[in-house]
Amino acid sequence: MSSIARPPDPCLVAIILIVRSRTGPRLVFHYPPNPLSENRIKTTTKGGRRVSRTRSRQGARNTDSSSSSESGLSSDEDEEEREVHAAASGSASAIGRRASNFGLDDHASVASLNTEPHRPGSLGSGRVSSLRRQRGAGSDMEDDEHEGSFRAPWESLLGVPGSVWEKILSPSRSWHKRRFEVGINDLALIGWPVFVREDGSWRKQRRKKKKKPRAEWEGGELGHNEAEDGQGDEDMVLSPEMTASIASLADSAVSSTDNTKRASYASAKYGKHADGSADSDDKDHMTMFNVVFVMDPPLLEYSLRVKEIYENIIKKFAKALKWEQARTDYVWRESQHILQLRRKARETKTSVHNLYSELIQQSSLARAMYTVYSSISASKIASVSLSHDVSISLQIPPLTSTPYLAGPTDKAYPGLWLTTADSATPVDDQGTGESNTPHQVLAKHFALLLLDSEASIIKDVELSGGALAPALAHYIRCSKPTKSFAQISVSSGIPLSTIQMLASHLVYWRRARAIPPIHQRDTYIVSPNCDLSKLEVATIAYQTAFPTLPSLPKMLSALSGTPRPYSNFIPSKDHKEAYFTILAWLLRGGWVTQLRTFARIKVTPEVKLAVETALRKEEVDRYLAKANSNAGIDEDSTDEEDGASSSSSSSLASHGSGEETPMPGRNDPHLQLRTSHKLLDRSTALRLSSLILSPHRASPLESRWLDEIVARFPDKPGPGQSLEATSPDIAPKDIQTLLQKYWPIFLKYFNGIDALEKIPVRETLKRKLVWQVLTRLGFVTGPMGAVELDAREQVLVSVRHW
Amino acid sequence: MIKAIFYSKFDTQEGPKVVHQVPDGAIVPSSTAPAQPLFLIFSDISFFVIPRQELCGNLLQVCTNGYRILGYPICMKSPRYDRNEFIFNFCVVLAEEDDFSTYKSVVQKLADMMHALEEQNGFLSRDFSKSGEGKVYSLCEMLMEDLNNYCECMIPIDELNTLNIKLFPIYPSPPTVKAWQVPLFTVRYHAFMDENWDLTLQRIVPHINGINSVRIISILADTDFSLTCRAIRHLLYYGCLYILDIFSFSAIYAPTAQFSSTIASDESMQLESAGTSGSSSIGAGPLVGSLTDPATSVSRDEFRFDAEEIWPLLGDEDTNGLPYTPETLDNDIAHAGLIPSIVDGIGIVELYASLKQGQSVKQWYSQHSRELANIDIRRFITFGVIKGFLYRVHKYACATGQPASAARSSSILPARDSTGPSSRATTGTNTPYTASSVGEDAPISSAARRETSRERAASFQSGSRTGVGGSGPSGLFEDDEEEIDDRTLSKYLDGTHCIDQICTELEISERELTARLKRYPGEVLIVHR
Repeated sequence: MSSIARPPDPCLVAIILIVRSRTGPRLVFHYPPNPLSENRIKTTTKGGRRVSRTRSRQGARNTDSSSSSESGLSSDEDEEEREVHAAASGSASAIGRRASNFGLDDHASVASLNTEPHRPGSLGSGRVSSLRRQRGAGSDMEDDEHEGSFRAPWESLLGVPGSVWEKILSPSRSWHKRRFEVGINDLALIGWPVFVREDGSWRKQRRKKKKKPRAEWEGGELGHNEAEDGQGDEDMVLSPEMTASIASLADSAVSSTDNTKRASYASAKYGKHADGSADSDDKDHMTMFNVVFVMDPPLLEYSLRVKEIYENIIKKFAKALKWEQARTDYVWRESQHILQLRRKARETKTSVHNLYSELIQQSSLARAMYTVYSSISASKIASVSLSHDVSISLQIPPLTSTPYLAGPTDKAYPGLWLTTADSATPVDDQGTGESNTPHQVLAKHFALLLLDSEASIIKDVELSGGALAPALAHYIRCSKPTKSFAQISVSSGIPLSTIQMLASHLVYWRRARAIPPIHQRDTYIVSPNCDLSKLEVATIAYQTAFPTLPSLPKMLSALSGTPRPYSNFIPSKDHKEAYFTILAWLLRGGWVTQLRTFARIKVTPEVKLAVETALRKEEVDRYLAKANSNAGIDEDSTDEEDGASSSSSSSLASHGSGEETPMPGRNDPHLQLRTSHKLLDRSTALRLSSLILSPHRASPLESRWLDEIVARFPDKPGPGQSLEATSPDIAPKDIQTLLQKYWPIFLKYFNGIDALEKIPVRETLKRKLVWQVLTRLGFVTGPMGAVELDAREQVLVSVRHW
Repeated sequence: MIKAIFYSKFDTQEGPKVVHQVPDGAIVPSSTAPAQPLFLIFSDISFFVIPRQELCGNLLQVCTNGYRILGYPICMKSPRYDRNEFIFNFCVVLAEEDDFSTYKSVVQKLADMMHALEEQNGFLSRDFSKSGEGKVYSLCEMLMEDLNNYCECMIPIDELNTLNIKLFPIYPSPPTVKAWQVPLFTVRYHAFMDENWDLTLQRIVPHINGINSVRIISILADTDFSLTCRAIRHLLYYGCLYILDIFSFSAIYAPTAQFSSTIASDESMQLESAGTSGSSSIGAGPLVGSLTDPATSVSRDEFRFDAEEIWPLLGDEDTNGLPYTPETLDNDIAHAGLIPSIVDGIGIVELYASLKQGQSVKQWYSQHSRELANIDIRRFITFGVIKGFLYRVHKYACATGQPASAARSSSILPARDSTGPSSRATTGTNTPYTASSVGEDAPISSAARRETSRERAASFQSGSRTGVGGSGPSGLFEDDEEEIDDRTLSKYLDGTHCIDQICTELEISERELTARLKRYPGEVLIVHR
């Protein structure tokens, strides 16, 4: 059970390749041959609503609880939905996740293609297409380019003849290497057209020899060097980072660099050669190619979906093609090959099915488009090899976790890992920094959770060969979800930076997930976002993985109660390993999530008052000192005293700004009024407790409060504390000093955002000790009143969530 | 925001051509317009503005130069035209990144209208006025101005035709409504309901109060259940409702990850919570009023002065724990000694923070009864759910197929004792749907008030006890004491049905369900999620 492959939703309908040569634009290839074909029947019966949506909604209902009351209502619901849509001024916008299994089973879909000629008019919504059809019937839609009695079914796409597509999808040069976006009804067509340069080449001629390693196509994952996109754009230089995809490792350029180079030298010649072999075109050259992705995103997610696929797939795929075109005239060669096969098929009246299987078999470009389509529309990773030494892996990176629990009216993604544990968090930022890069450096205090069995991942890695494989395999063997990257680095001797790089590679390519290290003292609960509809399937999978241990429902039921540290569930020391494996399994499937603790410091009125008193005293002292030094200036000392106190109080009251600005214009008549307000204000604020939101950026007043809180920590343990059972090994006296010692270290975690579970990992302290200190500070794990604590130390307001 | 509107047609001499443009000089250079950069180059997009006739009659859009151009080309065939056809397109230009969904229908409607006008009297083909003049131009001009300024327009074209357009926002389609969900208005429905409303809506609306479940609403309103669901879904579509869960004292609530960023750091939210659930608000109308009334969401500064009255008081049986010692503060609060102890903002945060998994509201209340003395618990919890920093922990029953035996408390698993998940046994003793269904304005704290609320028939119905509306629940259940058979029950025990659902659909209370599950042949585990 793979837990990922979640949103994003690709909404992919088809991929089209258009090339333009002197003879004009040609629609070379599109996949699938009959996009949205299964929708067309329903388009007429179902009032124009897309079947993909309807189907997924039905699916959703099936997985939904099929309640007794609901089951009889399905037709009503349909009507209802339509009605709601009608209310939205006719714009259908399905929120349910649409089925993303277009071509999930590729062979089946190829096999089931009907060979009947395309019916026109499947372009978008029913109303429009019917309009269109009426007009179309009147006009003679004579095919201009391919006259003849037999009109091949693949010459038209979505009910529109290919020549129309050729016109509309071959834009002017102003779109060169820009996003090309056209919409037809509900369909969006996105491309990244590439034009030949004025001099007839496909990239800037530059001496690459010096930068030999950079000039080689590593087939790697282009997102890695987004930063150098600007300058590296023209010539597609890609650094041979070790972060190349696993898939591409198979075709790693290490051994084939020589080939590649030679090929690129010979590119122009090679291209001509290919021309010569293709009998029909003499000396024709391609001037543009455009790979267009047809999508049908829901209206409300339009820009999001388009951006996802454009940034992650379209641009990278087109860039790879451009690279190959520049190197070996690849796109033109393949296009001619495809066109030739199509011509032949038209002559022999081959069926679509046969033509397509032939194309996919014979043309690596057709195969690449087929692979991209089938993998991306199934939210999988597309591993595409354009030639024997160039391959790329493309994916829309999936969402791996969310801190938001969907409410009843939100779109939910059950099964998604629910957590606030982000591998780059505020405190991390000081250390690692950039979290915007596609491959953020993983925080060193995270651990690696493999999403598949260790053996199968290692097998895949070794199968793919490649430069990274030994290092990856070694690291995977060393890795443990219970140990952080830093700890693994120490124990295995692999440098931390290498580990982080390898781990982020595995994470990016969906083989692993970065999690806070599993620990038996941490608490885990059943994730409120777990997908109980999968319970049955998962129970069986679990059963085979852990046949002798308590069943999945039992584990979930056990974890359902009052949250307790995981160690409570481990029956004996011998079971520890097994139970950690179970926990890893549960985390992987999104069944459980760690319950983490967050705290802020509470400032009580007593503390506020004490600080207030002290501040006033200081103010008076300062004034007196000042008055003594230049007594001549102030004549009315009593009035002045009022002013002084008001100034102090105002600075207190405005503790939000925190600036202790001296009050200008003390004798301002308005001041009196304002002062009285401020005093009132202050009186309210002083009566109430408040929280310090970010202690490491405390305002001056907050700092005073913090000092006062620390000063109030009892020097000696209060009565009853000596009875404390939690610390047999540490004398009570030590605890007091511990508190004084660790307070400054812990302080920055008391911001309500950083989980307290981080403290022991990050500060490399003993968990027990940390929790003892935290318990003194008012963090209650167990039942209340188990230990008697000193109220003066109870300064934390803590809350636990994921 | 529409950046430009232009009218383009296929000229038999010149090819695709922009006839009128608003603003002048936006699409093609104009002699009358001040020199300014063009929004885009028309020749780049003319292939799409005047496309091949196969694409006419479709809504087309293209992006260029940071603009998105929406058009709906129309091709009309008639012998009265040169070459027997007339192709035109009214295009709307928007910023590329702007939301264009609402303008799709505008473009479509405009095209249909122009199509009709042209058919009637050659409105377009007989317009020979210069660029920037004439009826068609002023139509474009008014359309753009009105839509940008008022989001609607009503432009009279001739004595028969008027162009009426309004921009409608597009919302996601709402999820299906479940019988065990509890709707609550986000608005005062009285303000906009009128007698033209749908009859079902009119009947159910008075029963939507944040207590009644959908099933109860349909019973109380005596409306068909499926119609009720549809009506509620309709309200949901327009954002008029929150969807809550059935509140009961055996329910479990816990904080979400939004806790720190909302209630714990937002003082005005703390005040709001106190305002809606504290004693001062009791009897101040339904929860929704205080939540949605803009008057209550005043800024922090305005709160300061009457903040004191907002914080709920502590229970007064105990006075030694004053959180505030007034002696040290001087004259401005002379009556300090009289200040009662209160639950302040942080107190509220602490109360919310003490809700946790595995602990029912009842258990939570018993631990914090003093602080909660003057707090309406249902409102207090509901507030957290609405604001998203609390979530309801739902219980799911799951039959494992194993025999129900002593193995249930397997040695390696924690005993299913009273603190564990199976605390349902203890929490269930107080059936939530009778004693704990709190009336709209009755805090649970005082037994007397509970009595009065008990008398309110409506509040009885808040749970899943859906029998026949009106009749006393206890009596009802003595009548149909006959067992729910195992087959019916087993359908619900696959782990995908929460207890609320099972109770609502089988029309039993949670306690009865718990008792029934004990008699179920085979092991039944409860999973909290």
